[in-house]
Amino acid sequence: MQIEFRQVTVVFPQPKGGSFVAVDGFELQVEKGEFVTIVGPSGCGKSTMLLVADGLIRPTAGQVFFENKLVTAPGPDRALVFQEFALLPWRTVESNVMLGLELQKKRSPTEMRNVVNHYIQLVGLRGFEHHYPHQLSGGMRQRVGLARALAVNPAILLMDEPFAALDAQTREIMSEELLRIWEEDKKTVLFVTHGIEEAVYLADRIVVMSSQPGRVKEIIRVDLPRPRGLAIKDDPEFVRLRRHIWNLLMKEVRWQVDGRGKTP
Amino acid sequence: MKKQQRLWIGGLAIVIFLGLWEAAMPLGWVKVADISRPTLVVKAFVELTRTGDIFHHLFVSLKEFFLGFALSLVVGVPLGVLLGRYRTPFLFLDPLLMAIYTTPRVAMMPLLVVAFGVGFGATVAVVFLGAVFPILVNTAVGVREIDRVWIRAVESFGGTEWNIFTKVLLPGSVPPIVTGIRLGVGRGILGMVVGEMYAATEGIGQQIALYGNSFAVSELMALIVVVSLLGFVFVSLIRLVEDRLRYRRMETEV
Repeated sequence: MQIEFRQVTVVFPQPKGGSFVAVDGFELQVEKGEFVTIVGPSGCGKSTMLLVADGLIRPTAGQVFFENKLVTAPGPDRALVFQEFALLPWRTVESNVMLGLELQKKRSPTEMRNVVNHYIQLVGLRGFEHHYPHQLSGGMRQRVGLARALAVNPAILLMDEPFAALDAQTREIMSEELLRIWEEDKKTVLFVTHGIEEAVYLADRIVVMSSQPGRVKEIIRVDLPRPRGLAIKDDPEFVRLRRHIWNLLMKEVRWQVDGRGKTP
Repeated sequence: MKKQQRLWIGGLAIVIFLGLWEAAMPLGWVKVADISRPTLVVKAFVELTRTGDIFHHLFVSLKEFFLGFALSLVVGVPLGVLLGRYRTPFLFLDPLLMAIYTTPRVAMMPLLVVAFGVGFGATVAVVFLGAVFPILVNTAVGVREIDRVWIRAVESFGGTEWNIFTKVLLPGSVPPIVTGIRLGVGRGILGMVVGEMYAATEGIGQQIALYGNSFAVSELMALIVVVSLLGFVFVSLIRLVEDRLRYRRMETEV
């Protein structure tokens, strides 16, 4: 087992007093090399779980163990990919990808440049090394974000709705690309999304969450063959899984849409 | 509007102004002792440069200006970063700094002369006091408005607080810092002239006071033009830097 969430609860104090239970008793074990997606309505605390796994947020109760060690702070074995890309606009593509390596100071400048170039090529950005983020499309920017995370060679990739800011077509292409890159060395991936189709397409297992407070509703194994192309979305099993998850989430979403939810 | 067109229209105003000024005295539009004329001012300027006197005073003034300005950078940028990043130092220092900031620098001149001596010391101090606030305030605002997600990215790679300073806060607030520097230049030059006019034995400001007191209007105007050109050149150079920065780092929107 590579990463283990034990009864993780996160409570945020509210500015006007009181508190908000973001996640309540989250339990999950992820095996090495597994691709796990976490899907749920907005506000179910799925991104919070990712930040807890990275060590940026300390849980109010419960623990996260990574390779049997308690997670208390970010470490070189875990890398985050952000929804907002989080690229530094004054740095070129090359320099952005190098950020993690720079901070970890484990390699010589020549080595770093070689690693950076390898991953820039892997994500298909060769020729754009000296471009600035504002000169790139959204999809290309997230490729930079992915390369930056991969460059530190983490044991696990934590992806926080990485394609949510992209348009539908780019999003499909990016998820296909992600699987292609993942197939190369099968790192463990924890991937948070609110897209059901994306969740099924990518995952070995899907964690479906309910909101307010965020709880694990169901964990679903996906037995679709790999490597997967986009055509698999027409597979009857894919369609069945998608419908099943939609039914699980429908009640949650209805609450949110109608405003009849359990108010926090 | 095209740049050429803009220059042409803007230049026209200056030409008209100079023309009216040139004609005002000979045509008897004004009934005061002497407001001089552009041609006389140019003549006075040539005379001042010929004796070389003006260069000595210019050198003295620039020395004071650059020292005061350098000090305001050394103090203003780090202090601004500190106040922009941490709440407690901000709450601690904000009232005191604002009190100093809103006090007219001219009113402090007697104190500065007592504290730092006539001329050099007092002028450097008043340049510093003028320039440090725009730099400090702009830096603090720049740091405060840094995108949190950039900081989070550095943290997620195990970056330390020092890494956040060097990799995000400083480079991320360069544009507002440069804007602060541009505003600070104006204040610094003002301080330089006022400081020298109040109490100094040399420097452009002291010369302005000297010629002013002896009603040598042409020389006085020549010196004023020198000071305003100085400010214009500095500000233009910094504008150039600002424009380049803006092009290179246009915010990436998601």
